[in-house]
Amino acid sequence: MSIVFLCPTGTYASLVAANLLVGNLDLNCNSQDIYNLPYFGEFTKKPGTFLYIGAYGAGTKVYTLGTGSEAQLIIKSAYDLVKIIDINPQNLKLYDVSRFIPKFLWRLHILDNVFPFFYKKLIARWLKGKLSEIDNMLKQSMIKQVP
Amino acid sequence: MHIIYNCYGGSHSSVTAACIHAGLLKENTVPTPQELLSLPFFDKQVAKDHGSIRFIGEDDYGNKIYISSKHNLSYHYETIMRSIACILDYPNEKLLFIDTMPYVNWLMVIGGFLSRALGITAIGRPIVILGTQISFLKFSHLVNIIKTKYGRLNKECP
Repeated sequence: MSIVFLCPTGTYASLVAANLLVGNLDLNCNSQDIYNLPYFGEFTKKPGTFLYIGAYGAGTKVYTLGTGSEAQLIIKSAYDLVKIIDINPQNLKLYDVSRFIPKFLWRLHILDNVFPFFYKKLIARWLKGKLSEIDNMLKQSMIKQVP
Repeated sequence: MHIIYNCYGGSHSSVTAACIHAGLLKENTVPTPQELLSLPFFDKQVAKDHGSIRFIGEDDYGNKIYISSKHNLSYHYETIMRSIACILDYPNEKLLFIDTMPYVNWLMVIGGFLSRALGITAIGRPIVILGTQISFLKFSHLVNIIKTKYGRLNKECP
């Protein structure tokens, strides 16, 4: 099975959710750990870039995918694609995690061109504050096994 | 092969091109308003339908023809969908995404907005139909290219 986390770039909220799931991050990590994640804040102008983050459990691969601002539209299209190419729908799970970064922060994305270091730090700090919410989402969606 | 025609709302240009490809419209004859309105999904999709991939029919070579909508994703839609196919280990050469937006004229944009976004079909529908009729031969030309270049890859014409 493949689990794909979706956000506008595939390298911010989705990257954190994916790394939290595979165990590269935990709830006690700090914003610097988030900032130092491989690919954090990269490929921001290339929606469609997908990244393999790791394995979770037996045979489950975890990916991130950048979808621009149309994650919900892509979820519909992807599940329809799965049907038409005759693949078991259970083999693909898509989760939109765009909501963990508010719109005003995305609008500040212009800062990424001028002060990329500052913008990435800002997002890393924001996502640090959202870690427990993301972890709850993973547990409530029953993606993450509760010990 | 699965051929997916896509445009902003999946209501006009993609439906017209897909229906030409599937043989529901004659290639070189501009259709009447009644013919256009009788097409499946023509000027019918609303916001909640956006993103869905709809089956239109099959062409002479056994390719399956679909329509979809992509809002403002532009060419990124194809990239994203191909990424998902790649994640599923599905061969990308069996998928073809055709963007019909370059052939959309201003009448189609204005009429489509009035009819689909604002729900003023009495005004929007005649405008979008006129726009579709004006661009029809361009859609027909696009479909011809697709059939010639990719359609025959599925199987040779019997």
